[in-house]
Amino acid sequence: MNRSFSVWAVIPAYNEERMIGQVVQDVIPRVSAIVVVDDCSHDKTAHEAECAGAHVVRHPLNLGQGAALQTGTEYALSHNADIIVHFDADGQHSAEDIPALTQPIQEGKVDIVLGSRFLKENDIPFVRKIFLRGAILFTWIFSGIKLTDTHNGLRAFSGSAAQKIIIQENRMAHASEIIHCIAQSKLRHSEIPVTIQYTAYSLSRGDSSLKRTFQVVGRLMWKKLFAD
Amino acid sequence: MGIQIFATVISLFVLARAFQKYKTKTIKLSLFFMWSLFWVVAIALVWQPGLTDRIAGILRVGRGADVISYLSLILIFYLIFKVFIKLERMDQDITSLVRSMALIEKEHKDHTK
Repeated sequence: MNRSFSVWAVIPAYNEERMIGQVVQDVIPRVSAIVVVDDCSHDKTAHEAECAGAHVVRHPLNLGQGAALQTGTEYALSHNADIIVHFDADGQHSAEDIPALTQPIQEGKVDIVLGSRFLKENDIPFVRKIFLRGAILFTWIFSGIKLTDTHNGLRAFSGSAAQKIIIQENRMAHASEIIHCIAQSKLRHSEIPVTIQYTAYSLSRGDSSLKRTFQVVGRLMWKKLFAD
Repeated sequence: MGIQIFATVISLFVLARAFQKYKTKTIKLSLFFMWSLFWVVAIALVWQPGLTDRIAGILRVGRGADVISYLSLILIFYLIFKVFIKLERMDQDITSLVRSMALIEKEHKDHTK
């Protein structure tokens, strides 16, 4: 960890009592602080995260992952975070990727670093791979930015970039929204290879790929047609 | 004649309800005017069905009943769109409120530690 930079990890969590303690413990040595945003879980997620050493902000209503990321980012920025890392709570990300993610920002080369599971060997389930490839194409058409992985939750922002990207998509469409914001704000960005561990637990979390795809496409079409 | 009286009574009932809601400030004046216009036109068309044929002739649609169908469809789509916009705004307001509550609660907890 570079001591001159205050690196904050933002972890959105919903009913993650099984994994959150372990995830926080894995991430803590690689960052300055962690904020877990408990999105109104029904279990002991908040308690487990706090015991493991994280700051815990608790939504009194379930808003979704995008909203939780924005809340955590605002909390980290209010504590003078220089770099903000988004990290998933289900244990599919590897904390070992964090230094490589923050390094280009610390060196001032880019404003945002996005993790990509397609830049290294990852055992990605076939159906998920198909949907992810479709998402890459869709995001390219909508935002004009061609990436190798658009729906990877592991990413890092400089403090100033995080202030420019205001996530308004409360649920899963936030990943495409972030890329759209990067394109609009003309922020410097790069991709680095990261590890994604598809465990039975991580695969059991969240909605099906098909349902998620329809939701994301619907939201983006709606925004493009009426809100932009 | 029976159906015309029935439709008029229903329209007048809805108009009265709209007026009541306007008086209690549940709806705005603009919305009250819009609804009033809609139901007054509906009453006029019920008693003068030939009017729709004349409008159809001007718009080159064919039959008067078709004009009503098309206009109803446009109106329904417009209302759905308005409801969606309103829901979207409410969603954003709730998000801001929940976020503020969560952050204030956390700051309060930090200070009392």
